[in-house]
Amino acid sequence: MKSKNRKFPVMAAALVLSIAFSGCSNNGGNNSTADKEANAAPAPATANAEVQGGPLTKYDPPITLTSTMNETGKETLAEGDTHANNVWTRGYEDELGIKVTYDWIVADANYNDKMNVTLASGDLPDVLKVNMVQFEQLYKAGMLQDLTEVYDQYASDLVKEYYSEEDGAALKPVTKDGKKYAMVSYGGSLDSSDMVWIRKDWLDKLGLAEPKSMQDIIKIAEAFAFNDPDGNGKKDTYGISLSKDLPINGFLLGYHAYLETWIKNDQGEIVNGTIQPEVKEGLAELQRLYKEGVIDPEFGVKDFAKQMEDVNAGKAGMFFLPQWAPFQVKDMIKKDPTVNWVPYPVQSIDDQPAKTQNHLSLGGVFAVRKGYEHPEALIKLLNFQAEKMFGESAATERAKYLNGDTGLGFQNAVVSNLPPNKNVKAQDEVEQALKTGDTSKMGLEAKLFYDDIQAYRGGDLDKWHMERIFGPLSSQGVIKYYRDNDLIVMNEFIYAPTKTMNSKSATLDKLRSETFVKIIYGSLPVDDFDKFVTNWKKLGGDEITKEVNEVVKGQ
Amino acid sequence: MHHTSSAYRWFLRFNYVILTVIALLCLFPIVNILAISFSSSAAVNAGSVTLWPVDFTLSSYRYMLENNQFIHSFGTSLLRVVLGVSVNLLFTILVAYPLSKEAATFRSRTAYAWIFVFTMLFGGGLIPGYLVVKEMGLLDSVWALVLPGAVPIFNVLLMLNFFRGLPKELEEAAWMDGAGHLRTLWSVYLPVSLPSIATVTLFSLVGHWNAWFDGMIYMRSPEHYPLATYLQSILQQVSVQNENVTFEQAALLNEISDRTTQASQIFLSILPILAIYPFLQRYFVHGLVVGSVKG
Repeated sequence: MKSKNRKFPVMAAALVLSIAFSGCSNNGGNNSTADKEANAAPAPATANAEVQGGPLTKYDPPITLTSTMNETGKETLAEGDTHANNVWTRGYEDELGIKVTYDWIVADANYNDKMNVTLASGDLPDVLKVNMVQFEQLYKAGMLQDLTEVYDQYASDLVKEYYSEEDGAALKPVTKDGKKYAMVSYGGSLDSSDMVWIRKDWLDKLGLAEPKSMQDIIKIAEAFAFNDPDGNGKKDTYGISLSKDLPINGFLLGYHAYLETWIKNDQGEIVNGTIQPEVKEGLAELQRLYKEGVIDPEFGVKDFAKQMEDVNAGKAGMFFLPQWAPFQVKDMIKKDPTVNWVPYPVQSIDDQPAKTQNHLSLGGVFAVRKGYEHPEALIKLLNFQAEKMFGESAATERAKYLNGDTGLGFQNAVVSNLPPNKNVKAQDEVEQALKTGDTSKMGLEAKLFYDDIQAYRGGDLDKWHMERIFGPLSSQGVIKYYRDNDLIVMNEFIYAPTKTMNSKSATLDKLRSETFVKIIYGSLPVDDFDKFVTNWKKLGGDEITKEVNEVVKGQ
Repeated sequence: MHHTSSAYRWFLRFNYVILTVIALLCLFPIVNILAISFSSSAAVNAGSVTLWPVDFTLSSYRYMLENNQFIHSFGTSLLRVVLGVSVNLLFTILVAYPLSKEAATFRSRTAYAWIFVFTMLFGGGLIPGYLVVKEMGLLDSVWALVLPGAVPIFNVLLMLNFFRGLPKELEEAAWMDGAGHLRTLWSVYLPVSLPSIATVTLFSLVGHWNAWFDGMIYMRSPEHYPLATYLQSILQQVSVQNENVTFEQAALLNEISDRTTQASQIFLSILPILAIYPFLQRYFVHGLVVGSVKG
């Protein structure tokens, strides 16, 4: 990670340079063709629209489209398929007349580096699958196609419906002056909700009630550390499991502190939650708990994997992770079915309700290279994926495209977007169906989750995680509670990182994590938080805050 | 024989203890990886594996044998090492020999030497390098991994200094017998230079085996990755822990992130180097120059 951060500014600089250079050298030719196209554009565009107006109309003759791919979904390819030739690429060609080829295919971990090199070399694929930073650079360099019209004209109802969720938040980050310069993959913000995971079997053993307040949470953590919840007669358990990355959001939210989140203050200004006084209160309590021995004394040197090892070894009774936490502890249940991790909403220290802090995060940004003749092809590809997974043809074709109904084969689609917040809706249906036994009204995916849960209840321990993610007592259930009771604070800043963020974020993050770990360890007094705030502002925080306010107000 | 004082014996004992500790420290991670590769993933996730496998199983090795990618990458790496080391050796020797001559015999020697040293101190940078490789049409071929580093200057310097350390009489004798430069190099210099050839071979061997970054940059599809790039990509994938992970990603990672499989791949990947070390080592032990000049 470190080396990546170090490399990045160099690459970014190289990218900017090379874009500047290509502006001098070969763009002479490109520009003139672009001009010609711009002049000639209106007529053929409308003509095209008449010929191939529909969201899924086939191109005849077929067109070609180049892009890039990460091989995240490798394991979900059907037997004999490759990324270059699989059920999706065949589908695109047979049904849409789009021949998709990949300039390169790379492991997910290396995707960004590889894309940076590609952008710098100037040899752009037709569909650019980039991150927000790269999108911003491409946009500034004027290398992206405006997609507003083709989106309005070609996007299927399904795709439009997905993008309109949450007030159309998904496309806001890629909209510039009212024009859409990219499509995105956006899963909704609800899955990022924070929650508190507690071992219910330990609660029961110690005769403790479920938490109703932050005070309860603290009492439970202390009891887990001191009252021998695993019953082995040794004091070898911790109340709270942490790692050096400080996953303490679920704790701090009890104090109404919103770490790393841009929130509106009473004056309507946008401020960073990290430097608010509420954080200090939460840290003070963590420091006290650490001193008492409630928190693993070695957390400062443990990474996430090590933290989870401790949890899986039955050493901790509480941790703070989002909805996917059950995947991390499912092996534990296979070994000992009495282990019972249960998620609870964040709890409040006072009479104000505690809220979760949610983020808008894009799974991907899909832009089109300026000068590509068929920008609408990108929209059609998205239409196609939505149709095969959730449209009318899903009932018969979903299994084929996903490599099994519950398969994750959509990862192999060249571009894909899932319905935002679909998981919490599915949970709702699952809960209803479990209550009534009536599965007839369920969506396709919800039914699959329901079947998994029935399998777990029938004794298949390998499916336990589905019960805790989608069952009545589950992480999506907690999310539903947040949603229905309006307990969500959204991060106000949903745009590409600002200039100073790019240059200073790493420094500020390091400053924060070092200071916080030291404060919890007790090697710094809690009052050093104030010093941290001053430093944070001086080291670029003020500058970033200014930029954030400008960006948000400019939208 | 003459070191029999008790201080020296203490020094020896102390030395052995320190070296043993260091050796164990180096061995520990390897043994740990080996143990993990033979354990069940539940045991590994619970952190209960240190030096001995828990719930012994061969499943990770079985999975790997079915995994074409690993075998592919292994093959690419072997090919790369064979080509890369041969090319490196050829150029190292061919460059080092003339540069080892006196300025009297080879007048522009210093200028050439500086040109080579210059490339050691200043690189062209990532993007220009990429553009060169791309324009040469080398992308996606094993030559993209071999040619950019064809002349390892550090090895050249090593070799050069070794050649200069050889007794002048050897070369003079060869000349007397009517040998030219090539003949001298081949029949006189090389046979006595085996220790340093072994050294530079080892350097470029390990370098080629471990290099991952160029594989990532220059290859267009993972099937062409050398082993180190492949390992790097599977090992980095597992770092998920933030709130932006969706349910689908978590589900997918749950399928692919298996530390026992990773451990078995890491272990197999170090085997070739481990196997080659002992063979090269004997050249380090006895230098061959000793006794070549009688006077």
